[in-house]
Amino acid sequence: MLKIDVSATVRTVFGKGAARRLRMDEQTPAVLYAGGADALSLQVGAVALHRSLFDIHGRNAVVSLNIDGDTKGTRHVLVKEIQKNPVTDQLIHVDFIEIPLDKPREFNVPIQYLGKARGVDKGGLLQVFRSSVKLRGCPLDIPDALEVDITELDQGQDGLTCNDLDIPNNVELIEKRETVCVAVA
Amino acid sequence: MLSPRKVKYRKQHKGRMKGTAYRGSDLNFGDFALKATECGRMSAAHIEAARITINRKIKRGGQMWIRVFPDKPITKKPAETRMGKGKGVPEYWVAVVKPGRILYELSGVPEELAIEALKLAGYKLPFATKVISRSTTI
Repeated sequence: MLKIDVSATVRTVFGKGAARRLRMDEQTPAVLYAGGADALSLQVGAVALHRSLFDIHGRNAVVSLNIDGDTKGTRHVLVKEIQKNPVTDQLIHVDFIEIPLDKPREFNVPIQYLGKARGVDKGGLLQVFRSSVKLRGCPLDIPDALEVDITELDQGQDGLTCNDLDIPNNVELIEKRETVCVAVA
Repeated sequence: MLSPRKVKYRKQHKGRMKGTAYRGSDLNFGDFALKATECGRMSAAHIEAARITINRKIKRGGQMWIRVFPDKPITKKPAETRMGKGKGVPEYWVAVVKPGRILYELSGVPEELAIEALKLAGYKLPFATKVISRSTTI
């Protein structure tokens, strides 16, 4: 899984007006939830955060959050929610959630279909039923994407199922094994 | 052209277009999209004109999603009619569009072609738009 470093500072100002002033100073308000413990209000440099979120680009990523003014040191977090202006794409607020790296957790992992199916060359239609699958495992064991070669897939065959996916040993698939992912009609 | 199959009430108030479109403002299906940057009304004829423009440009292949639906009836009084005597009859249907709303999405088309097709579609609409792509958004 992708790993990214982000620096943040503990936020001491709250409310609409203060948040707007922060955004004008190129800071983005954020919050860190840590299962059970109190939530921690943060502020992150808007430009650096935008660049980091652009690197993540919707993928699963563990963010190492270095918080200035926090006693706990570096925290490993996931990006839970991004609020942005729908017109300008300016960041409004970001939610982080702290995760232990040694505990299994569920992740949606995209499937990448490689090559052109033989059946498509014969005039068939490629039907993609699943573009991602749910996997359970420790965050760092989860792959970025599952790659599947579909060049041998022919027209009229049963198609590739979740069973045909190359899943790492220490990761568990949380789907029915017989679910068809891709087929050629 | 697009229109609702059945409605509960035939005529609606004019309404006001305030704020931005928080719903329907993200790329959800395709890789490229046309996004409204101003508010306005998009009639069923506008939706169809822009759809035809995109299809003519991309010729074949690819997939398109229309993310707006004209569900608001607009009434009009006949020509040379005195004021009063009640509200006019429903004339056409519009979709109310707020800034940030995704209008069309495209996938399975080369980037230059998709951007050009969406740009041409934007010229057909009565408000300002911009083309966005998955690779340039967070």
